[in-house]
Amino acid sequence: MNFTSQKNDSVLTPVTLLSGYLGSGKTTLVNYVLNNADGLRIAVMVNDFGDLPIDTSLIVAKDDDIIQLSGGCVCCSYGNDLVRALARLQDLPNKPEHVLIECSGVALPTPVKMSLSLIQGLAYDGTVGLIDGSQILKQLSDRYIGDTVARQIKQADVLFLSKIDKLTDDVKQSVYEKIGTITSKHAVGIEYGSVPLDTVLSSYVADDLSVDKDMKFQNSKFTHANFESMVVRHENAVNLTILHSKLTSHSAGIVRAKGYLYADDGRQYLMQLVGDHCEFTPVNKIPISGLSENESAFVVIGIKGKLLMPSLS
Amino acid sequence: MTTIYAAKKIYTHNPSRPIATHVAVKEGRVLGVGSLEELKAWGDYLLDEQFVEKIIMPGMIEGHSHTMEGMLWRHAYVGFFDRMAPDGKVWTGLPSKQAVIERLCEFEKNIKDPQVPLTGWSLDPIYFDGTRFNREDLDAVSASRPIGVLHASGHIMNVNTKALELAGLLRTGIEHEGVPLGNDGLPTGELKGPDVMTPAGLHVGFNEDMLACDEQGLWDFARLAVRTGVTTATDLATRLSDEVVDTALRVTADEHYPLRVVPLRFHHGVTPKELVDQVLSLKARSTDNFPMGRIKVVADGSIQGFSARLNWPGYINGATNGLWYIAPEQLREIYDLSLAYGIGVHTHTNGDEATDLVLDTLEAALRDNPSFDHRFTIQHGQLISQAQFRRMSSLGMSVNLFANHHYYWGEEHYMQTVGAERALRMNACRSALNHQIPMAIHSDAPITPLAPLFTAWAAVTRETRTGRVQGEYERITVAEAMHAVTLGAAYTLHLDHLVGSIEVGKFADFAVLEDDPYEVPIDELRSVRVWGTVQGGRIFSSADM
Repeated sequence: MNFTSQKNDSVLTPVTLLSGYLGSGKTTLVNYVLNNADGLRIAVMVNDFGDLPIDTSLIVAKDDDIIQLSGGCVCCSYGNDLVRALARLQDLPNKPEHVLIECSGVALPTPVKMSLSLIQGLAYDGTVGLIDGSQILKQLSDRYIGDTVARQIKQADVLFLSKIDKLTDDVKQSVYEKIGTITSKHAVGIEYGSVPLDTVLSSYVADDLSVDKDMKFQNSKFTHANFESMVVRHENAVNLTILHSKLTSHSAGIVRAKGYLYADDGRQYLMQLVGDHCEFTPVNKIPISGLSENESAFVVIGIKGKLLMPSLS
Repeated sequence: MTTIYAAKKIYTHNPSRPIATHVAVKEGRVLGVGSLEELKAWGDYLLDEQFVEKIIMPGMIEGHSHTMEGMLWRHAYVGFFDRMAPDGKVWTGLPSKQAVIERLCEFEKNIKDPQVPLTGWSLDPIYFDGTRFNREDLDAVSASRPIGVLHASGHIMNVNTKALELAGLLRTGIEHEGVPLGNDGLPTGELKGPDVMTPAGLHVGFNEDMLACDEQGLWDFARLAVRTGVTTATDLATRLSDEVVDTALRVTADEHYPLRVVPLRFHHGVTPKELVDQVLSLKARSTDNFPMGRIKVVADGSIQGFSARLNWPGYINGATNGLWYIAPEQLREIYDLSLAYGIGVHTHTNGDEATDLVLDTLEAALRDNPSFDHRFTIQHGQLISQAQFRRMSSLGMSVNLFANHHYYWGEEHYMQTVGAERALRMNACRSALNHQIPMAIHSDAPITPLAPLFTAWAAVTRETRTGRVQGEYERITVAEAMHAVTLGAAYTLHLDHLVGSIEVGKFADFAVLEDDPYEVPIDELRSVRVWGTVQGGRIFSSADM
C-alpha cells in the first residue's frame, strides 16, 4: 500500500508491465491491445521489433526505434536502455496516455518496476504476467530457467494463462496446482491474447466510472467468459488500511480496482489497485457527478465466480 | 622495398623456427624470418638496426577489451592501483577516500567552464575498508558542477548533488535497489546498475551508449596499445551502429593508426535473426585493421555482483542465484544461425551454471549444424570446472580466461563470493591447457588495465594483491602465458593465420621490448619495458605517443 504525496495525478502516465517467458503470448497480447486501443494513445515498449506482427495498414511512420500507428499509438524498441527510452517518451509531441512495457523473456518485472521511479511523470500500473499453459510444467522444472519463471510468476500482479485450450483436464488441473504452489493469485485462462483491457490497463477502468455517472454499471466489455466486474458505492468514510487488506485478500478474487474514496481521515483519494499493489493519491475533488461528498465509489474487476465484494462496514 | 630488422633476439612463436635474429618485412607482411644471410636471398633490402639491442616478439593480442578505455582517459583516474595513461604518464594509485577527493579537486581546478562536468573513473571503495562515498563527499569538490565517478567494476557510479538534480533524481519517492537513500529520503549519490547510471551518466560526461567509442577514444586506446605491446585488440561488446562502424573504419584506416581492432557485436536489443543478418552484412565491409563478423553473447552477470548464475551450492553468503541475460532458446537460435553461416560466437559466462548452459546449447546446436573449426569461445568462464573443461574440449571450444582477476578481487572471492575451493579454481589456466583447450587470457580493459604482460604475470604467479598465491596448481609457465597473449588469442578470433606469430606471410605485427620476457626473473615479467610496436610493417614507438 502506497500513499502518494499530493500531486496532480492527471500528469502521471500509468505504466503497465507485461512479463512472461518466451512463447507465453506477450506479443499476441500487445497486438491485441494495439488493435483495440479505442482511441487511447498507448505507447508499447518492446525489446526489439523482431517478432511484432503489427498490421502494416496501422503503420503511419517508422524509424529505427519508433513506429507510429494510426490512432495515436506508438511502438518503441528499447534495446538495452529502457530508462532512456521511457524518458524519451516524455518528450514526444503527443505524449502517450498509457505505457505498456513488454519485458524480455528472462527479465524479472520487479527491477523494471523499480526503474520507473527513476523517471518523473510515470505511475506503476501493475505487472501482467503471462504463463504458457502448454509449457509451464516443463519450464518450471527446467534447471536453467525454472527459478526465473517462478520469480516472474511471483512478481506479477495479474496472471493470465495462455495456450490451455488443447490441454486435457488432468493436465490443466496440474498446471493450476503447480501455479498455486508459487503464488496465491489466480491465473486466468485466455485465448489469443483476448482479455478485457480493463484488466491490463487501468486507463480503461477510469472511462467506465466517468461514463456511468449514475453508477449503474452495465459494461458491454465484460463479455469475457472469465471475468466479471462490479461497482461498489459506499456512503460512509472508509478506513484505507482495512480496505486495502480486504481488497488484496486473494479470496476476494479482485484483479483490479479503481475509484474514489472518502476516507476516515476526512480526505478524498483516488485509489488504484492491481493485484497486491495499491496507490492512494489525495485529490481535491472527486470527479464523479452524482456522488455526495461523503461517498466512495469504485469499480472492481475480478475473476468470474470468485469475485466477492467484502463488506466495507 | 624490403626492410630487414635486426634484433637482439626474435621470439617468433612459430615452433618450426622459434628464435631468430632478423625479420624481413615487405608490404606490411613478414617476408621471412631467420639470419641476415638467409634473408638476403630475397633481393634488395634496407637493413634497419634500430632494434638491434631489443627483443622482438609477436605483437600481443588483447582478446577481451573494450575500446571505451580510450575515452576514460580524458577524465580523472581515481583507481587504487598505479595505472598508465595513453600519454605514458603513470598515475599513482589512491590509497584513501581523502586522496580520491584531492585528485578530483585538482582536476576540478583545471576546468574553466562551470557547466562542464567533472568525471572520474576506476573508483573502488572495496579497498578502503568498504568506506562508501556519498554526494556530500563529491559536493566538497564542487557543489555547482555536476560530478560523476565510475567505479572500477563499471557497474556503479557516484555522483554529487548537482548531477542528481540534473538527472531528475534529487527527490523523494524513488524506490530502487540501485539507489540507496539517505535519512532525508533523498538518494545518497551512489547509483548501481546500468538502469540507474544512464540517466545520470549523460550529465556527468558519459555517452548514452557507454560502450560506443568515439574517434579520440579510439586513438587514445591505440596509444595505450602501443605502450603495452598490443597490435590487435578486441572491442568485445559493441552495438556497431552505423556511426560507430563508419568512425572506426575511417580511424583504423589512417596510415598512422597502430592497432587492429576486432569488434564483436553484442547480442542484446535485437533478435537472433537481426543480429546474424547485421553481422553478415558488416563482415563484408571488413578491413585488415577492422575485421567484423563476430558475435558476443552475454549469458549471465558477475560473481562479485552476485548476478552470475552458479551451480549448487551457490554463493557462500547465501545470495539468491544470479540473472540470465539471454533466454536459452535465444542462445540456441544465435548458435544455430552462427554455425550455419560460419560466424564466430564468444559467450560471456561467469558462473558455472551459465557455462553448463553454453555447453548444453552448443552440443545440441552442433548436432543440428555439424561444424568444423567453429572455435566458439567462452569469455571469462571464471568458474569452469574440470568436467566442464572436458566437455569444452570435446565440443571444440576455446576459452579466454580472466587471468588477472585474482590479483584484484581474489581476496573477495575467497572470503565473500564463492569460498576457498572455488576461488582456487577460478580462471583455471593450467586445467584449460591440460585439456588441450585453445586458451587466451585477458584484462577486460577498462575493468583492469590493458597490459598483457601483467595479465601473463598474474597467470604465471597466481598472486593476489596481498602477495598470497591463490591457486598454485593453476599456474602456467611463462611460455604458455606468452602464447596465450599472442597465438592463443588470435586462435579464438580465427585470426591465427594472420597474426599471433612472426611467420612468413603474416602481418608484420611485433611487440618491441627492452627486456626479455623469457629471461627476466618471473616477478619482473609484469614490468618488462615496452619500446613500442610494429604494426602492419609500420613502426610506432611509445615515446612518440
